[in-house]
Amino acid sequence: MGIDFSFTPEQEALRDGIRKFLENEVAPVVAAMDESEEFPEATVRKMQQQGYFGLPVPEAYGGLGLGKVGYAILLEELGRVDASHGAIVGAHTSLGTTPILYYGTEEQKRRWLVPAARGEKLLAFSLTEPGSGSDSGALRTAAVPRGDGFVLTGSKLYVTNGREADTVVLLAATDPKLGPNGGVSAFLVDRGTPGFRVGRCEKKMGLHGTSTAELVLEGVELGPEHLLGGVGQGFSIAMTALDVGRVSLGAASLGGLEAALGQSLAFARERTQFGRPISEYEAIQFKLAEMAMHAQALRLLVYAAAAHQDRMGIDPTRWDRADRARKTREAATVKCLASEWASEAIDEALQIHGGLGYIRGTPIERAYRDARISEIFEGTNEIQRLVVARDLLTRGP
Amino acid sequence: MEIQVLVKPAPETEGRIAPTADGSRLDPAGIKWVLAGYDESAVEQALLLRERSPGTIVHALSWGPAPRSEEILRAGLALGCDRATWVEAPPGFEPTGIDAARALAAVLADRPAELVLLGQQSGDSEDGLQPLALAALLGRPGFGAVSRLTWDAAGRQFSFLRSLDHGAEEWTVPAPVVVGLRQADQDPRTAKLPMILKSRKMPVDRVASATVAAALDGHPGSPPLRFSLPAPRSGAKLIEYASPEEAAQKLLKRLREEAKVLP
Ligand SMILES: Cc1cc2nc3c(=O)[nH]c(=O)nc-3n(C[C@H](O)[C@H](O)[C@H](O)COP(=O)(O)OP(=O)(O)OC[C@H]3O[C@@H](n4cnc5c(N)ncnc54)[C@H](O)[C@@H]3O)c2cc1C
Repeated sequence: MGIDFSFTPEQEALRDGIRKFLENEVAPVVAAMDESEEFPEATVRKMQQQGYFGLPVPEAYGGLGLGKVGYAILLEELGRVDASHGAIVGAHTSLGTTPILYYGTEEQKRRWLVPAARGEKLLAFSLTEPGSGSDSGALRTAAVPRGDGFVLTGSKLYVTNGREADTVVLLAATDPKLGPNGGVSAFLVDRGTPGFRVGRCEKKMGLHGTSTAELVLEGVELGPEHLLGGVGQGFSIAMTALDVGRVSLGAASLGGLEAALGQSLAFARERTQFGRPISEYEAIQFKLAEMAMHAQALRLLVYAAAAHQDRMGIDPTRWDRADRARKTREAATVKCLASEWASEAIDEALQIHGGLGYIRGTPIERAYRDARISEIFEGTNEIQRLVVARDLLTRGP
Repeated sequence: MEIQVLVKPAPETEGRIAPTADGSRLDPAGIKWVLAGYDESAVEQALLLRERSPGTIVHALSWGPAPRSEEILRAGLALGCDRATWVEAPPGFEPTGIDAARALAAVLADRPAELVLLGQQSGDSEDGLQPLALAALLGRPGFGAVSRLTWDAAGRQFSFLRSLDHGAEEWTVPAPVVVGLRQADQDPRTAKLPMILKSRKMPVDRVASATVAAALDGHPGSPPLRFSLPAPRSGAKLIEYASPEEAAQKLLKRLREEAKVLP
């Protein structure tokens, strides 16, 4: 029996619909958004109203029920048009909804997941702190039990959607001595909770449409219904969400690569130097070919990883250990290769565009600034390589 | 009110477009078929009429080969059409020309729609034949170049504007009519994701080709002699400049001396 790598007609129709919407509604605002560095509220609102913020969430919880493959299609298309919109959707969906969908109680799903998937509320995910980035298990924000609830104190850094989010999935230490092995717990923290506020928002090289916020917690009192999963389960919840995030980030990078290739191909055919279109020079052809090869390889990697996550389902208690390890390794592989190949392709695309590629406001120039962060967030690529190596050394090739 | 809105699959021009091996016509293999141009406007106007006149039913209808007809009917359902009917074309028939009008008229003859609405021309071929051919075959009044189409439910009549080269005509006409639309009142909407998903599960009724065979005149028409692609665009030229004045002067110079479009 062969392997069928084709998309279903439903998935093709989904891609067409998404592409048309993004071309009509999102593409026209991107340059101005990048320049003004403002959150693209109007387009986000439209996307929320049309189900874009709950695409993989089951219909029973307010989503469209299109699974991880449908979600990867969305991120690939977003990646073609604008990385900021991709990051806003990704932080909300991969990192915000996944923890609640996979680990929340029915009550928590009704209260936080349904409005998020319906696009009525925006989510963010907050793991990083000033003192803990790659070593995320060493976080210091403390969650101290009080009564049947908790009091949270500390500060978090670099939170995508942090300024706009209605609710933040936030990781804090319930037992600093235990670290990642049982010492970290996940909480749902609502905007407006006393003691909880947004601090500084960073100015960035790219992703100008997204906020990257500091969150400050000064004695934030939370009832037990704000604890997600069990006490001490937070690190594993975060890693599960990151597995989803890394595949979708890979899909977004793939979209970015494809856009760079498309723009380069069109430009190389049009631009004439020394009497011939530059596409006739082998030095340019090789760059284009390299991009196309990477795109083809990435499509297989991204959708195979997404399909695997769909097959595994959304109930972590039913996952088998080896399958879970494979999922994590696939996600790390996809994220690492996709982000590096995308950066490389965009760099080459800029080169193909010559001086024009360096001019502020061209799509390539923006893509160049936007792409770089994908090698860093959701785990630096060094960390992705560590994840793969660790799995290699424990489970084998 | 019932609206029958007619749609025809048009090749997506950004996709692969190539002649068949014998060079006689467009090769359908690998083409992506879409709802395009005036057809999109016709669907948009049908949906606007329904919004302004609740209870209206919008029925999309297409004559052509599988699977492209079904695909664009689903695109119509995704935009909000209530129902869809695919009229199957016998092998060899392309969904153009008088055959299309005959087949569609055969189906429309027993459908008591107040309005048969279509683009003034299809999204790809620009015959502009269908609105008036259909009207003639159906024995209903027909109008082309129509915009600002409204429905007066109490008077059971339509009002609209016909744009001509030398001016515009205002009309009011009792139902039923056949209308070839030039322009909808607003830009065509894009389908919402939940509707795209729903449209995949909605039924598309099928009228077998045998049903319309009698209306067709026997054989498909002969193909054209040769099909060729439009000439490729020639390279764009960038003007480098330090000031807007310099840009304008350089542009003028090129328009005069190279393009020779200015004296
Ligand atoms: C725009 C933006 C958005 C972000 N969004 C979010 C968000 O929504 N939520 C969130 O929680 N975080 C977010 N982050 C934080 C991001 O995930 C971290 O910046 C990232 O994980 C790296 O952490 P760090 O910056 O502390 O770098 P460090 O961990 O200090 O790393 C510095 C360097 O050391 C390397 N390094 C570290 N440890 C090792 C090791 N063991 N072996 C080899 N090399 C190592 C790293 O790879 C890196 O090159 C965001 C960051 C940015 C810039």
